[in-house]
Amino acid sequence: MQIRNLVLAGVLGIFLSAVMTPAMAAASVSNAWVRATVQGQTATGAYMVINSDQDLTLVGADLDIAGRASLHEMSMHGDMMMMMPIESLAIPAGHPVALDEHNYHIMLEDLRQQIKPGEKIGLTLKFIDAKGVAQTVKVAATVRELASQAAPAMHMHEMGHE
Amino acid sequence: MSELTPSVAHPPGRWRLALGAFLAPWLIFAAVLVYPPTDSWLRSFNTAQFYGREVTARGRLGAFSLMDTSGRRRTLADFSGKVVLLAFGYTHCPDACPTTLARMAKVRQLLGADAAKVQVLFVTIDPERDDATLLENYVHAFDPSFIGLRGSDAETDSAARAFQADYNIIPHGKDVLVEHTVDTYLIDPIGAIRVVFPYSQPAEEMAQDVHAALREAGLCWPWSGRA
Repeated sequence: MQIRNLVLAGVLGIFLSAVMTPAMAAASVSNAWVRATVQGQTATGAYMVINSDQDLTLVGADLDIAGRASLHEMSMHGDMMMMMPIESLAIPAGHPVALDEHNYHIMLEDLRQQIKPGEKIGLTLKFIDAKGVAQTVKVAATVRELASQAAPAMHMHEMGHE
Repeated sequence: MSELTPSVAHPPGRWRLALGAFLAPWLIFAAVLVYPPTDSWLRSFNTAQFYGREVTARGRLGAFSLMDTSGRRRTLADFSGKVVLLAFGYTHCPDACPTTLARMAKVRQLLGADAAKVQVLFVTIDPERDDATLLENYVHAFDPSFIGLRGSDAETDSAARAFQADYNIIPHGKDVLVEHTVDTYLIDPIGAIRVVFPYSQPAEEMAQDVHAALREAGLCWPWSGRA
């Protein structure tokens, strides 16, 4: 009886862990922040560093407040700055990807409220792994001043503490 | 001492000194005749040297006629007597425009008391979405002295052309694809575009260039802003 229960618990445990593992996100997000907006401004950007222990592809994000979020890439062509939506962003295993002012950001648009410094903005990042299995990661991004700059060197320094 | 006494009585070289004093101006005069100073050499005494990319005389246009956020029509003439820093952008811009405006706010801080002699202008390339109220809130969030300018599509086009700036707003499904020049322009107190700052120019160098333009125009002390 006891042995049967133990075996049953073991089987259940193995079964549960097998079920749970894919649902557990492999990605972790650090230093997530959103640039504050002024009254009437309906768009801004969200920035963060995404780290993953398996190859993932970021395919989008959902915003907890009213509005929509999409992946954007910023690129410089000579003196021209170009901003365009992208479908996905690869997050290679073990290589943190920084979404900062110099390359990618999550564009927040159609906002109906002003975003003020110190607030937290909830984002749900949507990934798919190498097998095509969907994963999500919830992020609470801190709102920083409109004039904020993320120093590129700061990311790695902050990563070291986590 | 006694050895020097004859020298005082018959100072050697007194004639030579007199001759030298007489000839020197003529020699300088002759040298100027033979080797007249070049225009660029003379200009180097009163023309500012800049960190940013200097605009050639041929490229100096910079005319615009746009509305400020209080509904007044503005041209460059309104800001003569000040150094103008001008950039194009739009409030939907998450990276480049806040960076550009924050940097210009820093330039004003670096200028100290001379900040009052600088006017920052931000021209929206997206007048459809950036109404006057939003534009004003936006630029004032960086510095209350900043002026936001907007115009019709034709006026905006014309202003961009005058600065040889470029922009495109292309509808792309639900999104829009935006590209624009992220340079900042320095216009001197007599209304000529003098310097173009690329996106990567540090605020410290821009402040130095503003001081150089003010010194050149005699609007600040010759030692202002010198390290």
